[in-house]
Amino acid sequence: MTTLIQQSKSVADQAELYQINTRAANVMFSKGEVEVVANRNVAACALRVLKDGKLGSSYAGSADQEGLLRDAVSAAAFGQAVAFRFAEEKPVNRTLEPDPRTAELTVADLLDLCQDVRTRILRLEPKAVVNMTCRTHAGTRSVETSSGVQISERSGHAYLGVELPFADHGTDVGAVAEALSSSPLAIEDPWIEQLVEMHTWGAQPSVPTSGRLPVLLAPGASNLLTMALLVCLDGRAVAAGLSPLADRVEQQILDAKLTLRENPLDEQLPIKRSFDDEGVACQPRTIIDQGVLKGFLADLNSRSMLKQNAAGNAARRTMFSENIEDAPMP
Amino acid sequence: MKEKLRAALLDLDVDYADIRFDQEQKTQIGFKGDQLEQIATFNPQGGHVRTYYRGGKAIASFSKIEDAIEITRKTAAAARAAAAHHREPIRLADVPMIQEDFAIHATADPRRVSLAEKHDLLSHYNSIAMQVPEILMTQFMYGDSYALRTYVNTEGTAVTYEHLISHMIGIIVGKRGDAVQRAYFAVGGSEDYGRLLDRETLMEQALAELDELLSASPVKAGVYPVVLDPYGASIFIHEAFGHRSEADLTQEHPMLRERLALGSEIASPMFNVVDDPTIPGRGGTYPVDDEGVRAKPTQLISEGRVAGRLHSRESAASFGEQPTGNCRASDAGYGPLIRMSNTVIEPGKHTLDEMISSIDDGLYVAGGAGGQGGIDFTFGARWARRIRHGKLREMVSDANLSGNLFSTLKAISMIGNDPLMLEYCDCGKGSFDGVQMTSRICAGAPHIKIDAATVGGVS
Repeated sequence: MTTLIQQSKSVADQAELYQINTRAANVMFSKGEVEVVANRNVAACALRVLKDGKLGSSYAGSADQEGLLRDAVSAAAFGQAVAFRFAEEKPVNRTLEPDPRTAELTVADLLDLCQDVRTRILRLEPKAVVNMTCRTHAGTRSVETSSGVQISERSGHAYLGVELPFADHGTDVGAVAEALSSSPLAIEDPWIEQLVEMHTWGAQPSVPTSGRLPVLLAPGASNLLTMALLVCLDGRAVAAGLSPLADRVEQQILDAKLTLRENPLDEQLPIKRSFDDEGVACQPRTIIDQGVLKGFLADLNSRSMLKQNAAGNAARRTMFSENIEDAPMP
Repeated sequence: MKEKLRAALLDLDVDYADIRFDQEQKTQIGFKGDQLEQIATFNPQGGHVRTYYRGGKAIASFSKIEDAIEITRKTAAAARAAAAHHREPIRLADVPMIQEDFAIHATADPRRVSLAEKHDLLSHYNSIAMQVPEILMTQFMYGDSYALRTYVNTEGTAVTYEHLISHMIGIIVGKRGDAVQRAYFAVGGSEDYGRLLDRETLMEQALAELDELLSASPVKAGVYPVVLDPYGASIFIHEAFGHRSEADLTQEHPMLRERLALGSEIASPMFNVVDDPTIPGRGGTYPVDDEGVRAKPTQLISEGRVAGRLHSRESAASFGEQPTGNCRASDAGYGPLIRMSNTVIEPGKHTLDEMISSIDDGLYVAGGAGGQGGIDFTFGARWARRIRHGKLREMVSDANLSGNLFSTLKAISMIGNDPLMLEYCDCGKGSFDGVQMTSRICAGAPHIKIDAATVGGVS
């Protein structure tokens, strides 16, 4: 148990310490040239305390930074009244450690990968303008609570995004392909051939007729629909009565062909996790089963309001970064 | 701190390097309805380093000052590696070396106000809104942020400077029958906590607008002569024009570079726009930017002609123009990029009455309900009011204003003598290492009259 959690016992009813330490390298090629190389090294921690049923938070670069506990306790004096308690120690299904080679990737490795991919694209499409982003991310995330949780996990992945802008359409429209892996990326020829084929479509654009048409959504576009659905499945929206799905559990809400599952433990996924950002064990779950709503995405707070079982959906990260200054949310 | 940063830059085999370290203190309080959603204090710190070697550029952010030397060495090595993949050397425009410490002087410093007092003030404004029976939801947020920044580069510049800002914003949603509308409350946007106090009149004004809006009919879509209030005109100049003045957004855009060439006529001769980080007590006020360039006003439009644009040292060298001191980072985790400061439409000679009375059939539009800026823009109105036979008439709802930047600038025919600076503003801009959100910007304008503006509505 860290000193901070021990100290918290004399001034608060419960405490939770969340810490991250991440390292990311990012290379951007624009029009075939390296625009910039960026490294991001983030160490940060968030402390939450419960005192007299109220929640207070503070944030700092490290757990030994002066005033972290004092600030959280001060905030709890006026804090949000909550009915939950921080996570207790329970068995966690651990995922496999990330491929250690991913964490060891250097900027030179990323530059070499980009140069190799660009060369192979230009071999097929000599006039293509090639824009690329390549990055690697490695980090450690840990959660500790005064209720006995003390858990940490390493993560790591590599990413490559390539854009081939269509001629005469400016720089914002083009063929795009992405690759994401927990191991160093190996870009196969079919991946490149498909990207170049998509790029050739841009040379023969056609304008579809307006009106109601049958549409085939690519997986990326289908994901946009899922995102809209997830807003309605957010436990906070459900608890506040703002979701149209709030009272539809065990009801048919979608076509029976549609099933929505989540499995943060899936070893095939480059980004996986065995516990959420509140230290709750993650588990495979069916949220919509053949069109029937089975439950919601919940953090500890919304779970307590919904009287739902632990879901392990709490996340502090935003879509933009590992910004821990946001409170955990489903 | 300066010595630690200088030590990190010693003996680097690069053409140029700079390093910044930020020590911050922040407070956030949030209510949703009568529920307190968040109350927290933050003490983040971190640094950012940039290294240039021939055509290679590498940047890095870090959290601990102890890591500065190692990170800087690695970043220099990355710049050298990148140089092999970039043909042209990257140039930086020359700027004078600065060795100075800039301190902020706040009349009422939010850091000296207790958390309890901040909580109670936010709760007070929230409760005023909550007392209205037709209120469906409120969301009120308080934020303050202090940063002590230390900056050193290999050319000898070494400065410390401070940023301090506090604000409160509120969104109030009301429902009457099937009509759902919202009102906004935003105060502060400077180092002076006193601006947040005694603002009940503004809150009551927002609630009165909401009350009228809930019974208003939707605007009929069409092309109208429009008087845009200072809020809407400020957002227009920031979003539609200001971002096009940021050199990094026009650099790779041949059409924009041509349309916005210095000296090009883009508006009537009465139209003047300046970006001025030296205006005292505003969100976009600062003494020096985050690459050690002293802040100064930049005239963007002078008598209707493009007079300047906003630069980093890198873009200034690329354009062959002078640096303007607009290269700024939102916080320690990010490198600097070109941002506006306080962007202002300068006042004209017309009164609001003259503008209204010049319109036979048109709209008065109170802007500020979000939107998308660009060469083609769309902004939502908080509310609008019909103008008939030179008089303000009934309020209409659901109006939004859209148009093309260049044709709209040409259609501005009257500029008010009643300039107003916005209080709270925020702005996001994508950068290589993520989207940087900042509230350290501001915009201002008087009323302006647009002869023909496209107004969209639901009827």
